[in-house]
Amino acid sequence: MRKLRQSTCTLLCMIALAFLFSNGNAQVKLTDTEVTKRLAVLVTINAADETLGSVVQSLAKQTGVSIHAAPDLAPHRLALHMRSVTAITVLETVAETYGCRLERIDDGGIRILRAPVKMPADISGISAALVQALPPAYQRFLGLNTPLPVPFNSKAPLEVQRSKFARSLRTSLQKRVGDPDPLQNERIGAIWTQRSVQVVTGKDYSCAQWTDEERQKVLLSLFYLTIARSQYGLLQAGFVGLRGFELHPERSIMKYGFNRTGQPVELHIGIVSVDDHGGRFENTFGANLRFLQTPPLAGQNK
Amino acid sequence: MNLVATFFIRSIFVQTASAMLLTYILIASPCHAKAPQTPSPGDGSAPPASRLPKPIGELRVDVHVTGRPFAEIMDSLARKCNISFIVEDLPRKVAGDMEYSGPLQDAIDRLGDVFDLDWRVSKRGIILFVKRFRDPNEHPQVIHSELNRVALDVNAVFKVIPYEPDGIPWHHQVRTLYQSLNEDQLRRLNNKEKLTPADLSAPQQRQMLQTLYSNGFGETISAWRLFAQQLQGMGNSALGIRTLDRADLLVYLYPVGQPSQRIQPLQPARQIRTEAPRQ
Repeated sequence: MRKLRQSTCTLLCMIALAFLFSNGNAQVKLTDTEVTKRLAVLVTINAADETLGSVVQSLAKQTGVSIHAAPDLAPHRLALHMRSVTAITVLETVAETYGCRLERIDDGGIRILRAPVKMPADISGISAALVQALPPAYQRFLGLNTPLPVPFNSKAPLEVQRSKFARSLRTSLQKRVGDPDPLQNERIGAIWTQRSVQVVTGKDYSCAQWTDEERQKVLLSLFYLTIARSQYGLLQAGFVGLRGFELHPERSIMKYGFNRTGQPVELHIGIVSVDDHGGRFENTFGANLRFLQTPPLAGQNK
Repeated sequence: MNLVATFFIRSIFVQTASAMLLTYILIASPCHAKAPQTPSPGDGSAPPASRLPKPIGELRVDVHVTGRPFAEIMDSLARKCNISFIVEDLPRKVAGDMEYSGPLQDAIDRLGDVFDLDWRVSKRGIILFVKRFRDPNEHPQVIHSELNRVALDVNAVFKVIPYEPDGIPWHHQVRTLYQSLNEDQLRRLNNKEKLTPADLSAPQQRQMLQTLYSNGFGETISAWRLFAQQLQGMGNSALGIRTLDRADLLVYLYPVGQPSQRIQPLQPARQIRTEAPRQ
């Protein structure tokens, strides 16, 4: 009798567990109407320092809709105060903030993610694609979304104005990211002034052991160096593009540069561009002839 | 040794001219001028409005705070005025002071100034704060997965440039081009004539274009390729430190167990010029 009671009890427990388990994992696919209805409920969210992922989870709990943030977005830290607004308003505002979009997923839920970059078919589309590839915060950091001063230089063609403006942005960007040479980069130097005791000569301090702060330092250092090395190309590609070059390769020129005594000292290569009024802009870069006349050092050229 | 060579090479080139090259030359056609590709925020929308609707913007508020975080000050304003806000990233400045009495519109402007934030009203009427990066120490959030994606995307975008890097810097390409010139071409250059592509052979024309691309974008493409490699290899990387010439320490990143390979210095070693700066 006692055994029977025990086995009955065990059976009931198993049934209860099975019931709970099946309910807990049930994926009820919501219809579009149901999702719309649920996201129209008013919610209140306050967060002084949260990740985007946890904000989205909180919304999912409040609405019963499956909502996910893409892995590259979920760790973003943010603060928000939204009182008595619809859940869809919160989601759309988050998407607008990070330059993302909302997408329906198979289980009837919502995913917040960055739109894939539309790759340019040729070099004429490089500006737009580059802007799309960089999150809004990066664009602002680089100055890519800075409006052109009006009038920046009303006489020059728009592209020349853009180009000059792109150059002017480099100074402020250089202050933020430092020198392209890591050994000269004081910004990175400042980041590493304080080092963990685990960073010692002759021993690996592997990534798995780094603290979050150290991981951030490494990422920031690599990011600064990359921007420092590439800022010229990024800003030129972003602001000016390459269409003119593609259309008029025949305008490239080569010439000698002469010193005061009339001796050739440099080889200049560049392009002549013509503005709308027929004005000609010649711009070249040069190399010293003494360097050009010497054979390359071993291993310099493949 | 590499550094010495690099320094030598740098010193013999006219760097300023090269840095300005594409400034004038890569300009677009008139049709491009009519449809400028103005870089804009990610959604491509018009410049944001940073004005609140009149009745709300004119609400009078008093803010008298010392050493308080942005979110706390803004949260208090939001409760008083029944408004909602979001800030994309926590400002680097942890706490700020503000003494203000006046319309809400101006209070938010002032708060933005204190914490280096721009703001606008979102499509749904929420106040949206973003970093404006006037503080030179501010930077975007650096998230491994996001950086990784950005690096892959940027590299993919730059693939559209018909440039074959092969690790050859532009100044070596100029030398190859120069050494390919024949006597007649050299004579014309000596006579202060300009050579155009029509005066060059087909291989020379290709070399000239590659040199121009290399000068404009070679370093950029190379930097982003290295960045993508570093990010993808980070899970198997280690930090190390090296004593240089008994004078300074260098923090560097390398693949675990292979400290001699692909060293990427992360901290400057002042006064020391013996370490290769990069791969």
